[in-house]
Amino acid sequence: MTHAPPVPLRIAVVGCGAIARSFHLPALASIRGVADHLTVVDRDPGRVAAAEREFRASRAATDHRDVIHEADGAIVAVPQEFHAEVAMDFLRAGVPVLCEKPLATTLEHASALVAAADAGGTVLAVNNTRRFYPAVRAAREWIQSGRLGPIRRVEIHEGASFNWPLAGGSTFGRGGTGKGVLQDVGAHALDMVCWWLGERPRITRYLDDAMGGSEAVARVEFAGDGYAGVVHLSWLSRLPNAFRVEGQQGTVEGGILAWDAIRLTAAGGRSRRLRLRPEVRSFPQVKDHVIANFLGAVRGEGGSASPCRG
Amino acid sequence: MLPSDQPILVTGAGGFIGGRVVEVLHGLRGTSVRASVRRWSSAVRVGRLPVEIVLCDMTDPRQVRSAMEGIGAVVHCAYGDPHATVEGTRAVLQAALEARVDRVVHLSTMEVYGEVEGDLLEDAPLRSTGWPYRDSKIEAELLCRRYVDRGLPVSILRPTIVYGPFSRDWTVGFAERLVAGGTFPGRADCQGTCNLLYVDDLVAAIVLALDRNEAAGDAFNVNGEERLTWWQYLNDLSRAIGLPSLNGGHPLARRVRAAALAPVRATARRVLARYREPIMAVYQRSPVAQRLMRSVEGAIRRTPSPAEYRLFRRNVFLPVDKARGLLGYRSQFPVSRGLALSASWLRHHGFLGVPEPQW
Repeated sequence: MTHAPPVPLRIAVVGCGAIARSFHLPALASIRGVADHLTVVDRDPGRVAAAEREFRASRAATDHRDVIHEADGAIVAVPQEFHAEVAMDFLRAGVPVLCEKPLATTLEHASALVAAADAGGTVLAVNNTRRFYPAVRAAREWIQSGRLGPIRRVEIHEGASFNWPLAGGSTFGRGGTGKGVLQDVGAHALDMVCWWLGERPRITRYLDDAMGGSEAVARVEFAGDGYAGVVHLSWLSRLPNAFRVEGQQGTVEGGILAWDAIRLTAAGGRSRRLRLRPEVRSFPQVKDHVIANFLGAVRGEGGSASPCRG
Repeated sequence: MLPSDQPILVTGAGGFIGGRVVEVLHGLRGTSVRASVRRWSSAVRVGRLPVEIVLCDMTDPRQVRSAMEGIGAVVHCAYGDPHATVEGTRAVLQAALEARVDRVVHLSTMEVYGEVEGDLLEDAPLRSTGWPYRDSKIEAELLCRRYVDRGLPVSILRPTIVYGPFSRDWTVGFAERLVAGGTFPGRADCQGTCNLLYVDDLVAAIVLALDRNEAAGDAFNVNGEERLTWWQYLNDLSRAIGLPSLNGGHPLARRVRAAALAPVRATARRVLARYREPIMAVYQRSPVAQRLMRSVEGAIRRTPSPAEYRLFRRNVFLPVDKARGLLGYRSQFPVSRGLALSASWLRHHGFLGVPEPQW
């Protein structure tokens, strides 16, 4: 699935923490025409040197502003509070951006990025990886096809212990970002809701357990025309790790990480398990699809699957 | 002495006891706290509070010295493999001596007394048995004594079976096993004394050890004050989480099962330690491998280990007269109350089962 691109692409990966090393860089380094023009950037000279060696990057820098004019596309994987600043620098120079989620930590910053991308006609995509998860995609097809009827209820419940190998501790405690599970798992879950429904519901209630630091449990209740729903997230407790979308004529249910099946239940009766035959068969394959999709968008071969809106 | 304007360093703050120490010092006493964690991902619980969090490899004296800067007192909960336990404690004691902190509270364990029975007072000898955890905790205590001789005010606490919210071993693990219908040794094999200590009683003892001058340079048992058997604990827990009492008969079949599974348990641990990555890769790709591995894991988790049999049969009790007399320690959480709190936490956190997803 990773064809050699017709022209070499110069991709800059900004931020060489856990997500860059485990996701973006391995995917980029396996593509001919991209692997030999790779730029890595990190403020930490040790970290950037390690990434340069491991992925045989042709250029390494400690300041992303030094490489803006040498890049055909940029992947922004710095800590989330710096996403907006770094992404904006690339967009202003007309360089397409794939930004790690969440796009920004404030609505103002996110809106400014979208405006800048629109103004310059530049691709701005967010790495909402779940748009590539088979069950999540299948659910969207069912919802959008109208076969479930008007949607009445949307629920996502996700709870598992947090074990992401964070390189920095900016998330937690005093002086931290004050943004915990909501911006981590929540960025995915809320994107699923908006992507499925094709609109942004209004928030009706929000609860979390932050006590001056960053929340580990969050509950977002929302509503729209004829429907209501909840996204319940936790780093400390067990939740089903599943979603459920109920329409007037039927319900679709699935597991967030269940790759191969969803359950469909017709209103008032029959329930069946629908086996999926997905292109993406395991989590490690997601990265190749995300990167191929972004490179396609950079080359102007159609839009990104995860643009920052609609 | 505790109301000092200098913060208290809590090591092992990502753990069950350290996390509660941070919550209580910060939340109930308004003490300024610096929480040290081994990796950022373990900071989730304490990260909800506006406390200072630092990343610290306890085996690196430089990092420990830097975590100790400006600190008034230390609660040392961190432990790891034997090397990390011993060298981490050495680094903490040395840095604390250099920083002239007012108090180090060192979390030891009842296990330092060895595999002996009876009522164990603090002057009982420490006996190593070749079990790495026990032997390294003994070595850490001996280091503490050496630093006491050099003038460092170290207080050693020897807690017993600490249970309550976030206790992986005695609360979450047992509850999950009960919910899964797993087996425990029979009544006859559970007549040893369960020295149950609710986590907030331990934290109260830690605060006393920070506060009281009498604590410096001495070691204290910390235990609940009820003598109950393991059989009582398991049954009380089972009822607290809404399950029936355990079936106490036919211990023989269970002993046979435990003995039969012992080599599987040991092999699985060794294989997983060595080949975790390729195993996880196979696990991710193959539904058959997933089912097989889950069933082995489930069998191991549901069946008592030989070490558990030894623990559940042991007749040992740690009286707390010394802590009562010198520190004013009193257990505030009888088992009934501690279990009720644990059960409501287990339920709230989904450990008693979450609705099965349907797909």
